[in-house]
Amino acid sequence: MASWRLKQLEMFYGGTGIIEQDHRLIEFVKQNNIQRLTIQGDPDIEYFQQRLPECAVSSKHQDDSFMLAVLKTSLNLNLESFIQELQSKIAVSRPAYLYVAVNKYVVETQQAWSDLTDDYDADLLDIIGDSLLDYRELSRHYLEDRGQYFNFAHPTTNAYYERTCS
Amino acid sequence: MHIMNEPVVKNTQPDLVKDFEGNWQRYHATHALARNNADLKRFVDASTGTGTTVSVDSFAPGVTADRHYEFERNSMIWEHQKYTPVEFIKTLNKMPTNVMFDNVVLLGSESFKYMTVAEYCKTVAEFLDTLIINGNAIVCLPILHLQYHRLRYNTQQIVKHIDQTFANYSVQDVYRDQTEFYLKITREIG
Repeated sequence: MASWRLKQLEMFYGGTGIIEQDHRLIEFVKQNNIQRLTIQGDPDIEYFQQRLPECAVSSKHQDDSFMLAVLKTSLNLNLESFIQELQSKIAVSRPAYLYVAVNKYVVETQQAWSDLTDDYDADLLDIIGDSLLDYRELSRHYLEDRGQYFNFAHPTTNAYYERTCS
Repeated sequence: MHIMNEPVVKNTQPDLVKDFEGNWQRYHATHALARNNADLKRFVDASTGTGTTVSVDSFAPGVTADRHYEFERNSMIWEHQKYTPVEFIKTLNKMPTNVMFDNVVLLGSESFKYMTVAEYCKTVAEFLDTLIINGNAIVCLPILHLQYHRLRYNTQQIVKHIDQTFANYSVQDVYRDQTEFYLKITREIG
């Protein structure tokens, strides 16, 4: 069965083209010569493996010196649980690079966060970034999304991180 | 201030507005989303008062709603197209305002998607003010696609804010499924 990503591309672009977020992730893997990429959340492994033939793409845990990409497009996301799971994953696997993409429309929280601004995307990425010990943010991306982007196939709110200690 | 509760006048004339809506029972029987949602049907049936219930799909007639949905998404939403988030108001404005509606169900969530809370409140308030609704209104709130700071506000606070924003109406009840809320709205008589 075709993934939601492929369905969206088929519906709006006749199956051609590539989602900007996907393109950026693929280029990041290539430019950093990443040999093993683990994608979790909503992985669509086959799609990325086809576009990264030099890289071993998997949804399962891989050893040190790899990149972990977490793409969350499910219809609900408890932020506290998500952060805890993310912290556990990187504590165990210690990926050299980390990529987190979160669908901002499905986030729920029970916590009263402090120091919030009027920029929801920035606040969301700040909270995620602050929770990642031993990682520094390389870049972040987000858009004012009025439904014109493929956010539910690959979240437009995302950030890249690099491990700071060996 | 009290909530209007007298028997409603049965003067809804669904045939007048057949271009884009239908009687609720017909709509429910034909529209895929409504047909497959028994809980929504129960909520609407329990929430509407005496008289007829007119359902309004904000973007298309009931029977062909899904086809129109695809058309609208293809032609309106993507960035290389001209995207007008409140385009559907033109459709709603086709609704005749010279008849009184017993109950109105505004189901079309697609047109509300990606609005800010302020835009949603303004649009629904204009819709409610345009019509003469004698009973209750049920209005879709596509909470999944609404623009708001989800770390600062929870859904209960958003519904409360919407309720407080309406000048002449109040939110009496809420039905929620995974992606959408439906608000039972009743006109207040000062």
